Amino acid sequence: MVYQKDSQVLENIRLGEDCFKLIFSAPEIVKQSQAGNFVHILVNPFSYPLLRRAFSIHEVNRQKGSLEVVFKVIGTGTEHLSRKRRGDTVNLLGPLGKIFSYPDKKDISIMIAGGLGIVPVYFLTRDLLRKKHRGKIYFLYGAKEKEQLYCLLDTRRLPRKKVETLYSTDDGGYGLKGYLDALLKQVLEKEEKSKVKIYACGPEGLLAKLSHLAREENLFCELSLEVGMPCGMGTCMGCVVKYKPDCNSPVTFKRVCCEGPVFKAQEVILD
Amino acid sequence: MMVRATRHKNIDLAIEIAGVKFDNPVMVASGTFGYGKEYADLVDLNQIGAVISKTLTIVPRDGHPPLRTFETPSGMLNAIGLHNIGVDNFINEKMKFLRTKKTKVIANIAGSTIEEYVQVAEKLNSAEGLHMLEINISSPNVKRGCMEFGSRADLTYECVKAVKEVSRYPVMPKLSPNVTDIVEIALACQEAGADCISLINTLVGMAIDWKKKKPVLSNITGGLSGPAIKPVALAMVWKVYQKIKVPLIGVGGIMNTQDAVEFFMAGASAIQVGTVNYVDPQASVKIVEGLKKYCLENKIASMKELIGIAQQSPA
Repeated sequence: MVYQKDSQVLENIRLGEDCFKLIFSAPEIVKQSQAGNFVHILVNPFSYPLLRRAFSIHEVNRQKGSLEVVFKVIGTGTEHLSRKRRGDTVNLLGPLGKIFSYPDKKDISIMIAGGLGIVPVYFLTRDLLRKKHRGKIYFLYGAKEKEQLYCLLDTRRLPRKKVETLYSTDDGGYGLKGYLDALLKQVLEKEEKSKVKIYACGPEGLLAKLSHLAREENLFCELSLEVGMPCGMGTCMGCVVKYKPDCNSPVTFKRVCCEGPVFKAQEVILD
Repeated sequence: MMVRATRHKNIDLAIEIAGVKFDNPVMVASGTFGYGKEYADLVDLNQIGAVISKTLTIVPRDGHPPLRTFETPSGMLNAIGLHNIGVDNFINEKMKFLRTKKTKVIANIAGSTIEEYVQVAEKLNSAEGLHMLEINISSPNVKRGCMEFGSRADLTYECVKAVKEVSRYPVMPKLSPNVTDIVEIALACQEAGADCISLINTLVGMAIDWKKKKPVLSNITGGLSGPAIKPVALAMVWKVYQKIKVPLIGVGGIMNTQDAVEFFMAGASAIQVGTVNYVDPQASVKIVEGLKKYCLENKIASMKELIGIAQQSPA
């Protein structure tokens, strides 16, 4: 079930110079939300900016019926959203999109969070913890520099006994100096590949690398993709990604909003 | 909560166009509402005058590579390239659901050749529960067919006539604004036997990525829609109404009741809402409610009173 609801802003928290966390009260949407889902937000009721903006859900509080989104100001839409204050009302559409395939207890989960790509994999991790998931979880979080690890407060709170959290920054200011794929390599060397389930979101370059890696090494890997979506409901056909489920299939197009945003890494072609 | 039409029950917005009795004059435009079911959680289809399908072609089409859409000031560009499930899948999979609803169903059709338009129309003759065909002679995003026909009066005539001859449904060609004289094209439609005419489709536009130094859309150009094009659409309805006898269905940038009323006043017998469905999926039902309220407040007994009323007292 998809809901369209005027939702009250409970809090707007600044996470960095141009990064914000908005917490909304949206009980119906929260009830149905699972990791990988997104909400389509009408940033204002006027005609400019016109279209909704899609945001993966970062975290939910099922008791309070609240959900969190995290975003950077990159244009007019996010600029408007960044100015929302407690008590403001914003129209939300959701939950939308396909979810991650949750691991089972024998699996070793590796979350790969590139920059703000942390959002959907953080939700997955938190949801697994809430469900008392017994399998091992790695959480690899990387960004250009420490200041852009916007959700550091969240990841530091992940229970160490259950989640092994590793960091990387391009400049070495926090965690390993280098990219997330280097961290992934370290983890893959330790673990049995057939038990590994990788869940990733982040910049296109990172996801393209993971897509190749998953294909070459035959790894289980799911990617959450980010593209502009006019409708979010599968009607406009505007948000497609190149899709090729195996080497014998022709390239077709899949809608990220409703046939994704979560895809098997092997099956999408990212340039 | 779905918007429910209960408050203004006594107002009847029903209108008959080309022998089809629509419960109200609000339709959802082709390409903005999928095949209807996609919005079923949010919109009560029983309350919309008509659902117009995504353009259907004789075989399924994959459309253009990404990027296909881009937001512009108060509008958006799209170059989808007629990505659709094909006419057979529409008849076999989508009509079953649509048939259960009170809304009228209009199939939008296209082809690369006039023969393909005819083939699609012939197949739809067997679709139970369909009420009308909208002929897409106006999409600017494919090399062959569509606007290729709709930008020339002679080819418009040929295409509309060919479809009209084989179809058991009334036909509604959808006109392109990307022409020198839209009245000439509308006249060709009328002569060819069109039962009504919808106008306008999108305006050709483009966007350039100034960082990447290249066009944003893979198709280079796309069709502009949304409130940005409303004045253009309104002017075209106004102009065509003066020369054409068949009913007009106004479309282009309608966001709310006021926009809709303006189109009726310019000469439209019904309206289509398109891009606004992405902004507010319930916009069509809200406009139906708004029209009832407008009629009640202004003592309008039938929508017919409004059609072309502004033409009687030009400024």
